[in-house]
Amino acid sequence: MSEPRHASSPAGAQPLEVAGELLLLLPDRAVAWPARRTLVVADIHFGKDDVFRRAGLAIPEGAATEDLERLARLLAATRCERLLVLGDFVHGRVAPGDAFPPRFARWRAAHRELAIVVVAGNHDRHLLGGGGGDADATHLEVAWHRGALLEAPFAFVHDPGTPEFDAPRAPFTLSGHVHPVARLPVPGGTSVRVPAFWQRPDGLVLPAFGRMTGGQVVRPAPGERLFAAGPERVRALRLPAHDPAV
Amino acid sequence: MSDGGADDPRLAPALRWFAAGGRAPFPFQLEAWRAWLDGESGLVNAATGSGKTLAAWLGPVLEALPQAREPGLRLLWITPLRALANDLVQNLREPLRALGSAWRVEARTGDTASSARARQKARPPEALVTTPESLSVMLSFAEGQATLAGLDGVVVDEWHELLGSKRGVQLELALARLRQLNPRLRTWGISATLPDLEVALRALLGPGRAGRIVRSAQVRTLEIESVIPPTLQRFPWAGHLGLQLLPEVVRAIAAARTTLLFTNTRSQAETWYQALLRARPDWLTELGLHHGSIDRKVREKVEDGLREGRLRAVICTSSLDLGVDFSPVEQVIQVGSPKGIARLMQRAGRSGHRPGETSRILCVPTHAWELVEVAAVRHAVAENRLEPRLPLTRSLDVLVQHCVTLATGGGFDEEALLREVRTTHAFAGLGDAEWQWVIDFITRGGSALQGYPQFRRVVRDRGLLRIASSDHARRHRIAIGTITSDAAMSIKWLGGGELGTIEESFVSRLRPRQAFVFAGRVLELVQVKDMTAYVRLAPKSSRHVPRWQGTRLPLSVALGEAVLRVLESGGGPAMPAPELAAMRPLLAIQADWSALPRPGTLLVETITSREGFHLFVFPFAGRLVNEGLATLVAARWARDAPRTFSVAANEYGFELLGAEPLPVDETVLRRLLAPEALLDDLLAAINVSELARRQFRGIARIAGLVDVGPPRRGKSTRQLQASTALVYDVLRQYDAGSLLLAQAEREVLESQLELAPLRAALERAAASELVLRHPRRLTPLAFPLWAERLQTQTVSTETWQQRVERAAARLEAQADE
Repeated sequence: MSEPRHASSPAGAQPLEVAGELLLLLPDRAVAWPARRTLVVADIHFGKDDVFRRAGLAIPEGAATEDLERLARLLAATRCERLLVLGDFVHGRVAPGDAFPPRFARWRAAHRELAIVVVAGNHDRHLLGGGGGDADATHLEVAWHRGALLEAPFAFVHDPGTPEFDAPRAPFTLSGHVHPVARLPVPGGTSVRVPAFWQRPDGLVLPAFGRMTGGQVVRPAPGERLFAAGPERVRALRLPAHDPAV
Repeated sequence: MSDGGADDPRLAPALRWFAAGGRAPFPFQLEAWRAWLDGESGLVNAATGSGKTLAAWLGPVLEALPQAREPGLRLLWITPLRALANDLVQNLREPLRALGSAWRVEARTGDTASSARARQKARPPEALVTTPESLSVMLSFAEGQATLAGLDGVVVDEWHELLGSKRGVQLELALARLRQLNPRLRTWGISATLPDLEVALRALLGPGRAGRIVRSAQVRTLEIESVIPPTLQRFPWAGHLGLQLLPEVVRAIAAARTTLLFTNTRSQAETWYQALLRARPDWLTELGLHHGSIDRKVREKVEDGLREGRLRAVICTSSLDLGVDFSPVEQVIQVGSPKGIARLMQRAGRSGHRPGETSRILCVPTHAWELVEVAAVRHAVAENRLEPRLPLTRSLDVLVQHCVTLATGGGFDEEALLREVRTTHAFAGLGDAEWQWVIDFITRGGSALQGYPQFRRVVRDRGLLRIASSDHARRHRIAIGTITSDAAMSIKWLGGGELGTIEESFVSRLRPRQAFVFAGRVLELVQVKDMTAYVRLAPKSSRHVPRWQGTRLPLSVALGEAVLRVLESGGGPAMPAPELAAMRPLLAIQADWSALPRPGTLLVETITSREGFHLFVFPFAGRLVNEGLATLVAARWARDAPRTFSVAANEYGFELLGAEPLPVDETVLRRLLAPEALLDDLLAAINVSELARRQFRGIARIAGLVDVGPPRRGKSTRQLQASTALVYDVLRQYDAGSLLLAQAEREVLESQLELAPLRAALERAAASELVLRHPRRLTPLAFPLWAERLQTQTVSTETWQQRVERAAARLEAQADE
């Protein structure tokens, strides 16, 4: 089998040409940037189940394991060598005895060669802010980046509303934070929600990667597009015009 | 016994007080007072406005008169509606001075200011008016339990309103705890008439405890009338907003001093308010609007206006079904279907709210068949055939919440609490395994087979189960209660000022600058921010009426049966109903083209039209049951050969529409409607887990699986937000043995799919004579179904993935676009 020119394209991917670069939108809520062998995800919210359980909300452990397994599968399928996380790597304060740090450490040990870069998001302050918790952020073997990460032709940020990238000549941004979700009408008057990529003239907002995350219904304005992430594949949506009679 | 105890010296102060007002107590009041004084528990059964409050109240007051006991809480008065608490306090205080009682009566609900609560804690009143939720909150404090241990008794007002709901289960558990604190506690309920008062009594006291049912002999006169449209031909056969009869309604309102106009939905209330104002702009200051979405302060103003007689009419929904003494109400009008027999009685009872007065209700049908419903209600009331109310059992979510409440209020012993819980009607049959699961759930998150590391909620501490921390306690107290509704969003003026709340799902369908009607005004949405919809007045009139959820109440099965009975009589001499006389032309058409449905028969019609082949079946079982029957029949029929049906159901029957004609005879119908294998066929026909996912919402909130709190909250609590759908999916995948999932499915089968009534309907169908007709046109009975099909929901047999797949495929854009 010959080595492909760039990372292989996994099943169900939707190619997207922006700023002269090819991106692959993946049904598992990630973006591959083949030219840089980089996998981009946003809003993993590691440790969210720990935060919930400590607060007395009974969330079983399995969901968090699944996020790491999915990440491993994606990395294998795309043959990416770098993982870029667009913020909200963790969900909240990490407490002694939490399941997330040792679980992540085991996973990291199995992915020694992988470079991980995290553009810090608002939730990451719990880890980086220095307030409380025993988890030293350096133990995660993750390179933290505060503010926007510029890698032409893209700017990687957590919050798409970051002011400096609102300027007309700003680079094309890849961001998270919003957890975009598309609402798909179903005949009969109901609807289903599905995580979505939200393409805007100046950037692309990724759906949240974490299994335990919710979402915000996004309605594309003129000039914007939504791509439903999964099941099985990514597809561009043509949402019907809003029906004022509903 | 002939004087009913009027010579009992213990009752003398009450008798003197009655005599001073030129009245005499009713025998049932004397009976209730004596029973209390003798230490009995029981249930007072009397209609609204017949003196039932005094019957339950004066026993405790009389008992306390001669004794100079140390101050302390003696009596709890539980009311289902916290909005009523302050009115109740006024009512209860009224006789005290004249009787020479030094009792203090106060209210404590979710609305009570914290300063007043602190005062009540330091110096409790003798009688406290409260709600089931506030009682549970009191139990969540160790000092609260100490105060409650001094109670002599509890009176549960409007028990019929709580019975049959999870609030009733919550109260049963709280009462069991109060009886544990004081084994001699007396429990009295006050209830409107129910078909089975024994069941209501058993649920109140717990099985195996003796109690007395005290019935008011007095029958309140109830007059039910209809506005009969002058010409029925021009009158719609199918559902409508019903404004055709506006002139008649305006006339009726003008003729009475005060009117309550009830509608079945909030949007209908908004529509009628606007229409009345357009017809009579001079009534601007005399009309009030009252429904559950309107801000509480605004509602209170309307209630005051009604009480003081300043308002001519109030347009309202079930928000005013209950209430203390709006005595100036002279006339009650019901717009649209009465939906149920007890419900119409309750609404009629809002007028003539005094012992001996006649209650009157004027019904305004919105389509022809509702005339029959009115005649049916009148007949059913005369025969005293009301809807039954069955108390719930085995609601584990409520039990979980109650256990955490007691863990918060000082802790509990597992075995002692199990014994206590099993004294309630709801949990008398609680199994050991279920109990163990509840304990596991609150102490370790779930069954021992699954991983819940770091889970903390209830911990073992010196032999007792106690709440893990004060932070857990604080959040649990906020979450106490079993009333769950669609997330509410507040509506505010752009310039500030609250208008009320509205379901989030409705707002999410609106776009900025879109107009809708709310609180009697035409508003325009400006923006949505932080769970608040900011609005301003819309520039010009718009007719976009909001459609709120939770208002599509089905016709009761009892009323469906009553409709069949009056149809059989045809309004003849046995039942001379003016409504039926007016309906005669329509009924004649139905009889001529097809047949009139009667008890003991099941009418089936088939028609071939340009649309395809229609099968209409009329079991008169209420919309929910008819929907279930339609799904079942469609699934069974489609099993023979691949077929697609679109399905519609209304209160009377259902329609299946197929592409081509199908052979229909008695054999086919008998097979499609067979009661056998109902559950299996139903489970195969619909995706129960998809429905359970929705049902799980309430369960998750009650059991404390998701964090609930006021809409505006700090960032730290926002961290704990997750949708119940998400939690449901995670649980199904990683702890499928959770009994809360099983409960969600059980609730779907029992309350959403109405399994028991569904089975009853099939059994009735099996015993009925089939009347199969092939009319050439849509009959008067079939037409409303045909018209309703456009709004019908499909019952999906697909998984979430399949639905997304299909929905997305329809919307998929060309990739190269």
